[in-house]
Amino acid sequence: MTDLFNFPSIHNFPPFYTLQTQPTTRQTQIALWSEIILAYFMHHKLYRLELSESLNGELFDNKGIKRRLKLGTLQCIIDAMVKQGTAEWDLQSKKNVALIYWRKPEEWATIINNWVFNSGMTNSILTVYEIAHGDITEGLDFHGLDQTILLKSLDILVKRGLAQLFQGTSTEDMGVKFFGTNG
Amino acid sequence: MIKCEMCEADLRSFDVNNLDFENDAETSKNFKPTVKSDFVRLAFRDGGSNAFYEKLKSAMAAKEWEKVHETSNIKVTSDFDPGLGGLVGIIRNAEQSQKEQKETLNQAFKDLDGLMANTSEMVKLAESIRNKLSKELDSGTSTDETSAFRTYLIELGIPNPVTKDSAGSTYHKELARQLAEFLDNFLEKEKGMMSLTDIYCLFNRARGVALISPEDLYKACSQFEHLNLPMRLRKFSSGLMVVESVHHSDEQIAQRILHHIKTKGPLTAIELASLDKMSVVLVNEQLQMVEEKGLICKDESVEGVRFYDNLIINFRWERNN
Amino acid sequence: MGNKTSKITSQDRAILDLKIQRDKLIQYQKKLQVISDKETEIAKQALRNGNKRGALLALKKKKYQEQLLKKTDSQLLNLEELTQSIEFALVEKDVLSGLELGNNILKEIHKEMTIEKVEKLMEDTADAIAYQNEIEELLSGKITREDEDEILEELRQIEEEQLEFPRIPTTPLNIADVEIQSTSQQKAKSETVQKETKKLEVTLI
Repeated sequence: MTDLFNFPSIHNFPPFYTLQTQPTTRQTQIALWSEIILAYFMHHKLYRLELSESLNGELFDNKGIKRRLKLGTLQCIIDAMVKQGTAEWDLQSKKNVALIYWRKPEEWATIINNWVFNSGMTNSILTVYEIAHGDITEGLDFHGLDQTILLKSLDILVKRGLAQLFQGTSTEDMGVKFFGTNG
Repeated sequence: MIKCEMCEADLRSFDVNNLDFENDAETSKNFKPTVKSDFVRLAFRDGGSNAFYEKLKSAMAAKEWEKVHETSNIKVTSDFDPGLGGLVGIIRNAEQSQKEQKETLNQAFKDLDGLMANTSEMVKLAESIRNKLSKELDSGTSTDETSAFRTYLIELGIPNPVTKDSAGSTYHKELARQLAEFLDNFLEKEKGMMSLTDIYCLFNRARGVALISPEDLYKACSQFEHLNLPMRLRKFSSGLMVVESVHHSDEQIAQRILHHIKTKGPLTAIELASLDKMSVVLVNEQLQMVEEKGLICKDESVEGVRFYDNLIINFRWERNN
Repeated sequence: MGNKTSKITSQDRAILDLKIQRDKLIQYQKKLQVISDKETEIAKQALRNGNKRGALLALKKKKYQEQLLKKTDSQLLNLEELTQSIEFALVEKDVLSGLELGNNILKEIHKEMTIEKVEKLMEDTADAIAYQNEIEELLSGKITREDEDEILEELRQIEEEQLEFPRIPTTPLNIADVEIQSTSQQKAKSETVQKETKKLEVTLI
């Protein structure tokens, strides 16, 4: 997690931080920023983007060339990503927080389901907590997965008929039972 | 002489403060205020009577005696003769200064009339030189000098200003032709494009007389294409109007600007303007045009707007991780 | 939440409860660990500052945390054991019900397949075989002695063809037998024998 992310050379190009007006240039610019954001988040296993705060981080604030993105520009980029399906706004945050899908919930759903099947967990009960934070999932791709995304993925499995979400008798914490393909 | 030659009267030297005689006019002692006499006879032996008459006239008109005492009049007005002093005096004062201003102005314009006379002579001289030059050009003498002369001529003035009188209904057409000739020189220097305002200033300055109005300039320029002249009027989206040479294409301009940026690094509009010695307004338009072609991109910062070679548009991220 | 509750049993819920408890214990442990580490740090810092008493205090706190940790460890173990036992029991139950089911099916099959039926079947089969044999005999009675000899001869030839190893030619024997017969027949026979030997040789190669 601590090894450095390799930014592409365009990240050191001053005009890259100004929202271009020429249509084609702007399109390419936004696409490149999307690529970089997805790669960076995947590398550091991040899921949640807090826009205002992130403007001070190394992703959007390049101290070397003394340029940084404006909030408006970043919102433009995220809007485009939302259209692509690689991001989703947190509606309550008024365009200040977004989930970044370097893997879509559908993909996570499949990965989790495969793991469950391959490790013989079918028909056993798992808590939602232990899927993301338990020792048994240590080192797996989805270990540390953001809670919101995890719940989305589990919902997808429920829709596919592969799992069932339920609560215990006392607490609010959720658990999952995986069925496997023959229900 | 002691006696007057004409009437044998005694002559005495006489000193009067306020009267100023240019010539040697003899006066009789009868002029002394103490002597009771109704007239004075002046004899002009060596002429100069006209000048004297003029002077006398102006002196009478000036009413020096009244004027000098007017200041004391004002003080004394309250004491005696209210009809002459006070308000009347002030009004007379105002009239006086008005007259003097008029005089001064007339004097000033007299000088200008002189200059105008000189100018028309100069124009004739320039024309004759020009004719000689064109003859010389045909015979094939040094072109450097002739082109220098031409430049001077142009900078000095147009030999035949086209006026509404001289051209009548074809005024704008003729004006357009003259403009085209005039601009031919400049357009090459200015990289093929000049703003209408710059042209207005330069052209009128060169003309000296019979200046054209902005409307006339605009109408004339609009005729360029119609008359098959090698330039055209162009309006940019920001409203700026320029005249550009037909030989110059946008592509040329774009390449020129791109070349500058590639060799000298990223540039601001001002830097580019000073490089090409063009107006910033024009450069801004051109930069916008090149940007729209996707050849350059802009960088906005606290330092201003700087233009770079467009590396964004074709960038592909090669990932090896 | 309510539409698929049929698939979630109360046992499932019980297990979930246990697991949630386990999760909470683990989280608690993590917290304790963090505090414990912090106390160690504080102790070190205190020593650096020459604050022996402060260091001692911190260490005592740390000791206490560690004791708690040990307790939670054993509780965790209990939980785990319980959870696993339940899960195992469930599995066993499944197995059992599976067996039961299998057994029942077997019984059903057996009901259909009675001993009497089988005996009858076997009898019928034996009858059928016997009948077949009779027919065969009748048919085979029509065959003459000559034909039988020919058939036997053909059989022998085929047998020799199929031989893999080179046998010591039995030709002298054959020739001896054939001496009774005419020379032409003898020739023909020797020719065929030679042919066959050649064939044999060929197959050997």
